[in-house]
Amino acid sequence: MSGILIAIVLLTILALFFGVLLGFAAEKFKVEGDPLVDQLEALLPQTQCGQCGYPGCRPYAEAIAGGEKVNKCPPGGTATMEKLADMAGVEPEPLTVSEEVQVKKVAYIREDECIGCTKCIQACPVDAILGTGKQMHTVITDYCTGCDLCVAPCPVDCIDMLPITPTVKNWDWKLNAIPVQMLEEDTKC
Amino acid sequence: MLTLLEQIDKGTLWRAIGGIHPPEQKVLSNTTNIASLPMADEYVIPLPQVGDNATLAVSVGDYVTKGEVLTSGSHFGYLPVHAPTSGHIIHIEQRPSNHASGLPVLSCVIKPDGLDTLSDKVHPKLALTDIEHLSNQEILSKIQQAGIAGLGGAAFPSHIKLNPASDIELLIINAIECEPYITSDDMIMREQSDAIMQGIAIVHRLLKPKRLIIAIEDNKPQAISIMQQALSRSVLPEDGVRITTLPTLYPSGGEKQLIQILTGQEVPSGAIPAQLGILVQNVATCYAIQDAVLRNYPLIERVVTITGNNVAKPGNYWLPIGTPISHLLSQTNFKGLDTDKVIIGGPMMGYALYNDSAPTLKGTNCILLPDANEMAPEQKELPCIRCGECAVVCPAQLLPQQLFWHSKAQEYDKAVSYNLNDCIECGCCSYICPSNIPLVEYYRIAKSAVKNEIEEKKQAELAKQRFELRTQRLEDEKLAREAKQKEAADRRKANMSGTDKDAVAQAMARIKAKKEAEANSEVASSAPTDKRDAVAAAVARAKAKKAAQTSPEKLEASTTQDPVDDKKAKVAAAVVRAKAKKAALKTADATLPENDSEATESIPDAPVAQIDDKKAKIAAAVARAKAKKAAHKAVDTSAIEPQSDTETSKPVPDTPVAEVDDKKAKIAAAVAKAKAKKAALKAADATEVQNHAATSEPATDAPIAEVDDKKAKIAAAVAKAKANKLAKQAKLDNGKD
Repeated sequence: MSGILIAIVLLTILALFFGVLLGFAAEKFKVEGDPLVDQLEALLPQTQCGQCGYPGCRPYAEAIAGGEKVNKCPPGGTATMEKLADMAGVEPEPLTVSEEVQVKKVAYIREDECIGCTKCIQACPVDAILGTGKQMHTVITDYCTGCDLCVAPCPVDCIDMLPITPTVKNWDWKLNAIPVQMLEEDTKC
Repeated sequence: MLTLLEQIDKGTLWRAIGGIHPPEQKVLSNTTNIASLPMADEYVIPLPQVGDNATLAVSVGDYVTKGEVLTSGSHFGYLPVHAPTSGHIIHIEQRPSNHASGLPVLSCVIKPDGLDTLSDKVHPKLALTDIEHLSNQEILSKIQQAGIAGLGGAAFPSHIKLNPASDIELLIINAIECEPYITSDDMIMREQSDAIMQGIAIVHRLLKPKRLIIAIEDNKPQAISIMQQALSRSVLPEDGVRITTLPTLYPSGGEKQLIQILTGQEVPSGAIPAQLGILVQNVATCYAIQDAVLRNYPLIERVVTITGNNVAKPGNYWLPIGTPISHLLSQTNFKGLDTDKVIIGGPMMGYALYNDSAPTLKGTNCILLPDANEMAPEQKELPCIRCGECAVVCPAQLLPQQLFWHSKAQEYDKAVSYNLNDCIECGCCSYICPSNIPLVEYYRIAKSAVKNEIEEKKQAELAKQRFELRTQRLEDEKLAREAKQKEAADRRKANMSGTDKDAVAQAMARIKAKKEAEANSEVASSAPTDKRDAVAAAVARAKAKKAAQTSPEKLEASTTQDPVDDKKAKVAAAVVRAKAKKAALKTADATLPENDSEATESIPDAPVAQIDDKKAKIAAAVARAKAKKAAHKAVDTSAIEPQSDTETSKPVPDTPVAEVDDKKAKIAAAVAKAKAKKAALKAADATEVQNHAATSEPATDAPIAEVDDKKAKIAAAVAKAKANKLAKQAKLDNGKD
């Protein structure tokens, strides 16, 4: 009988102790916000294009954390989708758009056709377009995320989305290795 | 235990890690002196920094002399580009680059005039003593203005390298030249040893290292002995300067590998040797530095090894930088096919050139033109058998097979976790691989993918920042706008004078008054539409007049009547008065349409609910008819109101009739009631004459109270209600008429 009592008392004490410990830990090591959202956001390409249907990349990351599908990011392409699926713990799904959209592009304003209406400037989510009223506008290529948002508002249709041309700096190395052959054995090694 | 410097003084060598011994073909090109080639038809000088941190200093059509600068810039990493010969600039355009990709880059094309006129800035060679007065900064500036980059292959700007943040204890002059075909450093050491020593002396002066090692591989005995002699002739101090001979091993010429062999120290991943107090400088660069500092002669030419079995005249050549490869091929009697490879660099680390119109660069130390026998035929890539040979030969102590797995699977993050970026792409693993796997190719692809990924991350971060800043800005603007509007509104209020305020208050009052007036006029206008009110008003007026005239009379009459009536009558009178009052209020409150609807509704309802007797029904009908008639009469006679007064007095004689059980009594009662009600209503309208109505009513109620027959009662009640309503309706009808 006393054995049972001891066990009950002991377990009660342990339960209390661990309860207090967990309560303390929950307060002490409290995580502010949802770390998953930050991680998901880090994977997104930050084009802020809104093609996912959310106003920017962070809202989409929040939506994914809340159960939204991971295949709504055309600028990120399949690679990003896979990473998102991995992070969110869901099955990868094919992208909702065709592969063609995934080529990286930047906006280009045909400057002699620009009427200086500033509509594209207001549309640009990353302030990559320079210009003012009735003055020609131009795109700061380095800042352009290729989100397409400036194309629709242009009343004179002078904005083109041009694919980024490969240069020596961003070229993807695909060199055939130079095979080396053993020659005569008498060569000094 | 000896210190590191003492061990270096002794010439101690540490064990090299990994490495291979590929078959050597240096004899192909190191048996002849360094030659020159006839001038090319045009020289193509790439302008890599233009558009980045430099600007063009010339334009198409300009005449430039040999050594004239083509670009200008002020960035610390800016490296000028010079004209390799005198002539006219005929194009500044995109030309195929000397790069593995062959992508076009902006280049300046010079058509030589054949005179090779030297720029007037180049002066006859000075002695080392003549530059003693120059500060280090001035010397570095001369090096920068001469556009000197590392000639070992990487082409890193020398003026940056020679201005390290930390003190340099050990300076290593790299004359290893471990690539199996290249002999350019070997030949320049043989021919220009004294000039090289001067260059080394300048670098020594800049860095003031405690020790200086000139490291040469033991496969260059001639160069070693010549350099020894030159060293003894040079101004370099005897203490702490030595030439160390290293056993031949590929790739001991790599910077980190050389440091490992000479000092036993390992350069940490991602660090530069300067952090260990060590600096490695290529021997040919020292020659170029000497030219720049002592002659003001920019880096416009260099020794290039042209070798391989496909070339009739292999050897080393002083080539102006920017010489098209095609010119070299034709001048050295290239005997291969068009499909044969042109390799820039050595066989181990070089890359095949796609387009032979590309020019030579500052870092181009060898052009390898192998024939079909020299190059291994393209062999089929076999599966990795995990033999581990690659890990044995890797000089960077990596695990090439792991890197290979992850690179092939495009799991670049995992490849990076296996230190992919520490791979020096020496090619030892590819060379040794029994499965013929081109490992280095995988690493290069993986590296460029990782680089692009990092670049994209950076771009994404930048875009995010800009997006957030923009969102913040828009938000701020919105708030500012709102605040401004509020402020303006407040200001307007504050600026209003007292009279203005009064004016507003007055205006408000006016508006209120107007509204009220409108409401009243509505009532007024609605009143005339139903003539009833008008009639009632007229009646009231008439009554009032009459009352005024007859009030003394009436009062008398009432007083005389009272004692006559019994108690019941009194009580009834009081009740009726109260009722009359209520009815008056009701009529005042109730609007006309409501009465209408009530009247129509209650007519069918009341009989069904309460009366099942035919007789009662009939009675009710009769009562209704009578009530109507009475109402009509009442209205008709309303003009002569006094009559109503006389009528109201009728119920008193009616009381005996009410006691009678028959129909007539009922009807009479109903009629009486209706009449009484009507009177009451009228009385309510004409408040002054309320007393008359009150006095007249008791009689009407009394008979009802006395009726003991149920049916009669019900009928009476129904009749009452109906009469009431009908009276109203009648009035309305009347009014309409």
